[in-house]
Amino acid sequence: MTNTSIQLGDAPNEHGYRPFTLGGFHFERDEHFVHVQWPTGRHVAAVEPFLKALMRDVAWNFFYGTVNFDSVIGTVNHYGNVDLFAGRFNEEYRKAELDHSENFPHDEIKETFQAILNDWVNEEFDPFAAPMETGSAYGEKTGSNGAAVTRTRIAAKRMVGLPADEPLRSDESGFPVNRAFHDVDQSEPDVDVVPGYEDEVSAFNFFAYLSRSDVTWNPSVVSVCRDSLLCPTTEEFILPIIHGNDRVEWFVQLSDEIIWEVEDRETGKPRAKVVMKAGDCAAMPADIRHQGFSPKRSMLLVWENNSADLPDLIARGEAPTVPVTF
Amino acid sequence: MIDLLDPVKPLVSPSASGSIAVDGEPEGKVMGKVVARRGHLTLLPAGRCYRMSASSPSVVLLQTVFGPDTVERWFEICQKY
Repeated sequence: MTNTSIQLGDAPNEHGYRPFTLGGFHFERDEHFVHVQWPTGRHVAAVEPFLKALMRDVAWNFFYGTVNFDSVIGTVNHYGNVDLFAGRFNEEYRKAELDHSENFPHDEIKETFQAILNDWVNEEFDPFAAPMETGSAYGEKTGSNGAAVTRTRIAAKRMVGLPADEPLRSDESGFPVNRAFHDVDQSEPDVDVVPGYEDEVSAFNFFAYLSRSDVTWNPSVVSVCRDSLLCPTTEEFILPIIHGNDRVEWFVQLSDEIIWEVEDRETGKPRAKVVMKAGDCAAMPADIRHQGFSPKRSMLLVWENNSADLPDLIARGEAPTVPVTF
Repeated sequence: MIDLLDPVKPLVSPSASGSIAVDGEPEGKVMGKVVARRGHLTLLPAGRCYRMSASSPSVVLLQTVFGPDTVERWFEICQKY
């Protein structure tokens, strides 16, 4: 079912926040919590993790597969339209028939989520920032933070730094080296270009580029080779969503350490714990959900296969859910 | 160091995929060179020739797609439980 009932906020409540309705889902917030209601149930979640998850869902255009905000609320991307669900991937909610799911056109659900962010994120809170680099998400409404909540995901067409592509980061462009990465060498490679080949001979300091990331848990497309996307990101604290894969996804840990909790995508039952240290490589299967914990700010290379055919091929059993069988 | 060459004539089909070894010393125009060190990312443009050389053992992570040079060894390398 595709739903088109949308209300972008009535009058503010006593805390200053507007309510929002999308189809059968109704969203409200107070000083501490978000309250979500749907025809068969309701859910309460702390404001900060909810807004962090919502921010990723919007900035990533609903990403690959499932974005679980927590064990109850989330979205499934069908690449053009999106399911908003409650309890769909929670076995107990399904057993109790409290689960609910509605499908919305991409632009409609994105407009609603963006409107919630615009209204519910206060001026001192940045949902993309590490905990020690942002103010509080809680309390009465105090202003807004349009610059933070309208960030878009960097998506290079070929490679960062090429002419007419995404720019490099520098102090001058507002990207100082992060407090955790002052030991990262900032020297650039030596590049000698014969005139006429400026569009093809190019290199940059990838680690230095990452050391200047001002956000966490936000993979950026830095280099493209057909459907192969290099999506590095810097991580600190907890991945604000639980990502349910619709394809195999590769991780290369470039620095420090991340602990991954890996669960069955449908039921949430534990499947593995993966501790990745610098230099480790892992593949996340296409039928799992995962959440990462990064004790210190770290560099992670997320390597994606962007083929639009993969979800259907996997669903039909024509492509495997794992990169190799033994 | 990475040397880049624009071959006089195409050495592989435009529809070819991945990394493909070129026999001998191809003729062409020098495009430039890159000296890349730890953590550096270098573009290897499609349809061109490149050659890497290193004075000491080094590791390169190559972003490409499946092709004639591909060797699949994940099942040998990956930890099993």
